[in-house]
Amino acid sequence: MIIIKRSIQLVGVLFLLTGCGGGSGTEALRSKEPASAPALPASEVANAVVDGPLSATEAYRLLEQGTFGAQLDEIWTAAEEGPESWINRQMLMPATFLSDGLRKANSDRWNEYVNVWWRHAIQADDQLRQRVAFALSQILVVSAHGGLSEEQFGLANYYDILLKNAFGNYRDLLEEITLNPVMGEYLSMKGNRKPDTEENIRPDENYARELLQLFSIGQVLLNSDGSVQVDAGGVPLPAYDQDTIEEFARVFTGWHFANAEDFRWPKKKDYMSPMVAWPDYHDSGPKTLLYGATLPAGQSAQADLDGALDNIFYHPNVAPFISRQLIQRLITSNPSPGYVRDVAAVFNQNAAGERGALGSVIKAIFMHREARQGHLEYPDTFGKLKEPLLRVTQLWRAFEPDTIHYDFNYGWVGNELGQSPLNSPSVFNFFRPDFSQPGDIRNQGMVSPEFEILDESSIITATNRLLANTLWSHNYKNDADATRITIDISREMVLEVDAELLLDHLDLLLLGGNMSSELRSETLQLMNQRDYNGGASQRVVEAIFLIASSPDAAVQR
Amino acid sequence: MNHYTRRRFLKLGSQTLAGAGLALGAHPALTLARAADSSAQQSQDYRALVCVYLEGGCDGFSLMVPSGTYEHQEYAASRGELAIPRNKLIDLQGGRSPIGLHPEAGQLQPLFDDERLAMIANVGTLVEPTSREQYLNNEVDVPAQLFSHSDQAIQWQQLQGRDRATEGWGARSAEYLSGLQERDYLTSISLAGSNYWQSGAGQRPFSLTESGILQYQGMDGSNNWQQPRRHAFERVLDIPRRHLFTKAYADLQKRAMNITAELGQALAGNAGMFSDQPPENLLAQKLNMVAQLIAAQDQLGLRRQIYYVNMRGFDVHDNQSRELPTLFAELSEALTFFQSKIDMLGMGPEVTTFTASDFGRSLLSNGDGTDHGWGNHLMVMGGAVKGGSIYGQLPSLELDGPDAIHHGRILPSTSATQYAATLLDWIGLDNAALHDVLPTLGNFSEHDLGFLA
Repeated sequence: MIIIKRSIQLVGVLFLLTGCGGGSGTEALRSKEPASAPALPASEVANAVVDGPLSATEAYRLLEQGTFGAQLDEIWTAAEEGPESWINRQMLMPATFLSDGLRKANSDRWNEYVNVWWRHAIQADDQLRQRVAFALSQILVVSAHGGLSEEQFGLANYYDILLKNAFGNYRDLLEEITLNPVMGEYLSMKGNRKPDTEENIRPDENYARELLQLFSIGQVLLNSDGSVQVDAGGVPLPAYDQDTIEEFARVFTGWHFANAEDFRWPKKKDYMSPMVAWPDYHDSGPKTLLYGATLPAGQSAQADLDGALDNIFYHPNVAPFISRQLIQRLITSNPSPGYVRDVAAVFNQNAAGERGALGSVIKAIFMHREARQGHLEYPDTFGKLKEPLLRVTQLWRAFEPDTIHYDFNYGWVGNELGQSPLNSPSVFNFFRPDFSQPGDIRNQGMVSPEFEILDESSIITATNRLLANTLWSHNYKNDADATRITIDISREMVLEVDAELLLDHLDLLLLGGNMSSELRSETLQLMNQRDYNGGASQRVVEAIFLIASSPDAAVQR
Repeated sequence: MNHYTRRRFLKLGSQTLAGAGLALGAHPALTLARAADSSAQQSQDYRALVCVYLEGGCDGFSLMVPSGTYEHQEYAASRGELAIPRNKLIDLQGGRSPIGLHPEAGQLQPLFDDERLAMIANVGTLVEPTSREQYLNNEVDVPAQLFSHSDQAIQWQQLQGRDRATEGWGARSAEYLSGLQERDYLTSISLAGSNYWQSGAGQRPFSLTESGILQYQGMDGSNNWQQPRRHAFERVLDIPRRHLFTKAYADLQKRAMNITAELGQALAGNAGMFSDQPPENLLAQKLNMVAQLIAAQDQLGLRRQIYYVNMRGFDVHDNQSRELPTLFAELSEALTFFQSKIDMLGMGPEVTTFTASDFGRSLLSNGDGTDHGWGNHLMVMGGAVKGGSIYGQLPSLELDGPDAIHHGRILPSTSATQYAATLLDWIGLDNAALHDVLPTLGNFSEHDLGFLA
């Protein structure tokens, strides 16, 4: 493949010319180890590919799926390493925690945690962990929308739970988020109390319902490949009913802020520590859970919670329900049943006999043949629309801004692009896993979750954002705003003397070497229209914008 | 002109409606009350439905509260601490109405008393008439996944039977209505992005925000410097592609470029009429944009439109006593503001606004909030509305009373399908079209609830 070979030569040239080594500036982001030292899971999924060197195009795909954006040197590193070795290296990296970054930022801007999220997405080394945590944040949803916008540290602390457990165990994760006070506030389990027949009060069903519907088993019984179980008449079989919800609602009673001095009207609010049990407000009666399992009367709030989370965790739906959504967030909107089944099998039991081992599940998702080769098998449908945040991080990472100004502020991204970390409009995330774009996608029975937030309005703001981030904000523009992130086009300026070389390079960096001949010639033509003395940087950024804003760059394949 | 809609009239065999020269009278599926001559695109015949969707399950039982002594006692016993005292209710019709409004919804009082606002009692997503006994004995079909937000929101917006479908009743109606106008891509407009009501196999809304039409920055077609960039950008969209997702992205980008340019011009023409700022209230701002779009219908040659607008925050599991008053104040302010704008345009009888929501809320309290219910009180507003009345039956609000299931969740007595049929009949769908758009309508004997003239 000529294009790739050329780029290989190019890398050597660039190292000499610009000395771009990377690594500097990210040291400060490293912080404490995850609670448990990561053990490297074996590659145990059925239909896995064998580890081994990748082409640049294949390496680009791996990074598009497993990071917030491919970078040139990382493409070559991953190509040399192969997918499993790359994953192993990533999994061993110390976690970069959001709350550490927030403390370090020492800023009183109300949305600073979003700015720190940007910094980490662009600069943190533990990219796979960051990307998986972001995926989890869209399944185990809490949101600053509503009453929590003032609780930055609480929100960051919640995100850290997802980072910490990204390769940990799903049962641990469920318990940590259940007892997290930000979740307690968001889905009103905090302060939920036992029934009071005199006052006509029944426990709040909010957390019980969404825990079952969204965080664990879903609403209908699933086969191991994620397909829906139906009765003889073709009607989906519900996984639970209203009575089940009411029973689980009674489980999640009697919890409040760790420092609350009063259960009904506390003045102290600790949004960082796990909630603690208040025995007097817990419903200690017997409860009937999924599959008719029971919790005996007289148990403590913690014992009831443990029993209920086990009851959920061992439900056969969890593996296909969560595996499928992780695949959708990371790899493709429409995984084949076989892909889901193979990953779900690892979720149910990894090589060490552990259930819910997310490190194994993540590795299975990336090492499965479909993740690595699905684009060849299903060339017209494999992949996913990129979320708005990912399109921006991918652009910024591709052109590796050297530093990010301390006044950098893009905490308002949600207003602009309809997506912002921990900021979805409801517990149903920014988009639903089963949204299907009207037209060919819907007519062919496919889903396209990310299309739910792409419309005639948001596609314009997204395009404008890409334009501003390229044409108006690069390091060869004299009047660029220093507090904005400026893309570094030094490498590209070196290549600019040879338009074909530049296009080879941008093809790899922005499209993984898949640029169509038509897009290439349109780009070349536009560059030629800026052919004047001193127009080099203009030619470069015109090319970057045209490619980055193209429909081809909007879809991960 | 249009590449996106599957025009249902083609299926019905009408061959007269292509292009601009629509022969309205000949349309088999439309009964247009005041159809003008056959040259079409005349301004005098226009109708719009505006759906105000209250996300999260709006507590209609707090918005419209029984005012009778006995009925209020029953309600107060069920709601406990969350009950609104009788003496705080806003009287309707000098106290003669059996309901009063939430104290923060007082702005709606004049609309109701002037008979431009009607209340539709205890509406919900019934598939067929359902008694309490039938529900408890599983004798009838009810919507799948009752009490779940996502499912019941979709159920409300689709109304295609007990299970989830691929088309909303708005989208299916738009297939009929689109045949009336050349700019059929402006039949469905959303101020809330994608939604299930206006989405179907070949239908989707045109979306914009309360800020109106956005411009593509750095790509102004009239600027010499920017023109080459814009042309290159447009040509890139036209590159043949096979991947469904890249194709869909390119389609949407092209649609955005074409329609926003056209709509931007039309809106600019009426900007003077909307120079004053709407209230600091997101729903009011969205409805203000709807009013601006409606004001441009003549210029755009539009005859029938459906609008979707949303308001968030109604899922009050917690802090109901603190959050609901604010929500109701905003809702009332926004609806009143919108009606005043429509009246200012002299289009009162041509625009009908209605509310919908995932479900009503349980009467039972969880301490400081309420849970997911089913039946709900809704509102319809406009000059064509026979207002000042309550349609349907007011339920007993007793926790385990004759209308309650699951301890305090109210079984609907009127189906959302009947509600939708009444609205769609007004906008011009004939009987066959109504049954096509609402496949379960035949399960109900009453198809017109009577709240529209």
